[in-house]
Amino acid sequence: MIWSRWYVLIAGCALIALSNAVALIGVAYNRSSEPESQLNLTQRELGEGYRFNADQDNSGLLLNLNWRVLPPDSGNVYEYGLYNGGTVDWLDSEKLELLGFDVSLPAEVDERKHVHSRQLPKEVFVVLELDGPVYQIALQRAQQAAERADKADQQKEAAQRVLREQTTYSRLFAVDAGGDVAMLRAKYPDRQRYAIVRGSVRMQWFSGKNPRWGGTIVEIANDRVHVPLEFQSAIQPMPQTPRGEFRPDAGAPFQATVAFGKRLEPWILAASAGKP
Amino acid sequence: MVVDSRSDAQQRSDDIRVFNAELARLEREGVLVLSGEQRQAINKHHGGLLVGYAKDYDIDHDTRAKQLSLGMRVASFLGALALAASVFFLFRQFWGRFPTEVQVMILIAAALGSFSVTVWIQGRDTSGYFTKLAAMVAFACFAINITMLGQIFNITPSDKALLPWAALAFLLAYFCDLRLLLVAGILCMVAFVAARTGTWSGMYWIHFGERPENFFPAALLLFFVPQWVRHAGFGGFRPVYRIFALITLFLPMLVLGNWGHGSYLRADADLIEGGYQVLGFVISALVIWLGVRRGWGEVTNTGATFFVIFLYTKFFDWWWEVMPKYLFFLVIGLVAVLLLAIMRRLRIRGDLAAKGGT
Repeated sequence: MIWSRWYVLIAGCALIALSNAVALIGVAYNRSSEPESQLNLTQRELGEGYRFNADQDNSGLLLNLNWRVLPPDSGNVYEYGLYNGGTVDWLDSEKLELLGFDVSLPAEVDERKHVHSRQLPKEVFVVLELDGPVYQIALQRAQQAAERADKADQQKEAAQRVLREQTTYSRLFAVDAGGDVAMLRAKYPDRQRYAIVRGSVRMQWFSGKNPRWGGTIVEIANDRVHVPLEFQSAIQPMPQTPRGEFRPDAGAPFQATVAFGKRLEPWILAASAGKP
Repeated sequence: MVVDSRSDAQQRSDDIRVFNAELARLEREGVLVLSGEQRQAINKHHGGLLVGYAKDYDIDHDTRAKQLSLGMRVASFLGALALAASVFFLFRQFWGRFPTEVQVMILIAAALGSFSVTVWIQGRDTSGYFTKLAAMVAFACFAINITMLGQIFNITPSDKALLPWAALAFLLAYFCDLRLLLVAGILCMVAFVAARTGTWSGMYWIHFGERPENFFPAALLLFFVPQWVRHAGFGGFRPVYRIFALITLFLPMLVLGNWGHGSYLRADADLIEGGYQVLGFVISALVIWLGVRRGWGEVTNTGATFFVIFLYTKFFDWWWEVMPKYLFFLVIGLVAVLLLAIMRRLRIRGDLAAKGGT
């Protein structure tokens, strides 16, 4: 043994204490002064992930931030809106270059597409918009699809989609990404509607008649929010099935004020049961 | 003679037993007969050593004790895993019923308390089995501590969390002479170095596994740790560093030998795959040579294992689809026989060289 027992005890306890201190100081810094943004979310934007067998005994409550992207309009009646990631039109070559990707190779060059599409995801800041213009577009698309549907089964499906867009699907959309928080905040100043969070974007090559470079938002770094004990009685989230679908018949309406701090980490400020 | 660790004491005890057995054989064959005085001196010296080792390190005296010790080691390992899992699920069962402040206090108290108990047990446990149990639980409590703090306060995931885990694992490994926790520390360090390497290349750290070359710097560092850091009294640790260094080197090569798209290199994927396959063969052969030259058995064996894996992977690529299955496995078997013959020839040459030297 190199060290005496006392030295080891002191070193180990100091390591444990220091690690916890660093983590808690970071939390305090994140929550110090005014939040970077503050959103009033409901059960539509905060859901519970599927509880696997090992999770059944978990007495803690962690909610998933349900965010969506608006994909290119396919006119498809059966298009559903529940993604936590996906391809967006606004991640074009220009945006990807701003985010630090190498788009120097023309997208028409097919045989080397793998070289550039092999660029790994980059960490970026993603702008989430709550109940804004993009959500209205998603709602309009659902209504237009319902108007276009001519077969009985399509009409039923389209009507259900409209209802879900109005009552169940998340109103939180990823609308922009960038490398600088201050620049994004200057572009989206409304802190009650736009939250800036950490995420990652992957570059992709899209084939077809007009081959192009595009991108996918892969993930949001902090997309789970812990519910402290004092708010748990107010929150009964919609549970998820193993396939990721929600069961709106289970769970009850609630609203929660979620703040995003200086490190863009979220926490729940307030929560109450019932519709807003 | 002072020994630094239980493993050194056990090795010395085993050497004494083997010495006594061989001495008895030589006496029966009439080759060597010790005088009464010599025999008494040796027995007195050995007896004193064994009594001291038994008192300080609880070593195994004979083969039966060794077999029981192996059983105790397995039980200790399984018990440690089970207790660590129990701590984890116990916390998850009840944590949601406490306010945030109480959750944090429980997490910190569990980590500090379990570590302190480990240090206390180590001072009283000569066998080392209870110490291993306690050390595993202490490491699990600390890992849960940091992980749950991250969940409670929604902290952004970071590769920096691997550093304190690695530090505590190394501290416990060296203090308690535990190779299992040394492995845990090594794995944390490998993941951290690979994640940092990936970050320096501009990617988001969490995707570091998508570029197997991120693991090469970690492999290099690990291999030289036993050279740079004195390990007196921790003889069993040096092979662990070398084995994991080689695994960290060869596994990514194996992956890249079959998945060229995962490389940082800007070249045709087939070319990259071919290059890594050749490199795999060359480096594994060099590793075998190095292991034989330096007397590092674990290096030789690991190199040989990966050489065979690279070889069989190539055979599979070339012949699995085109050959009848019985013929494919016959070829594999014949190659194994050929490798045996080559290694036997090398061993004979080595023996002749050694005899020529003496």
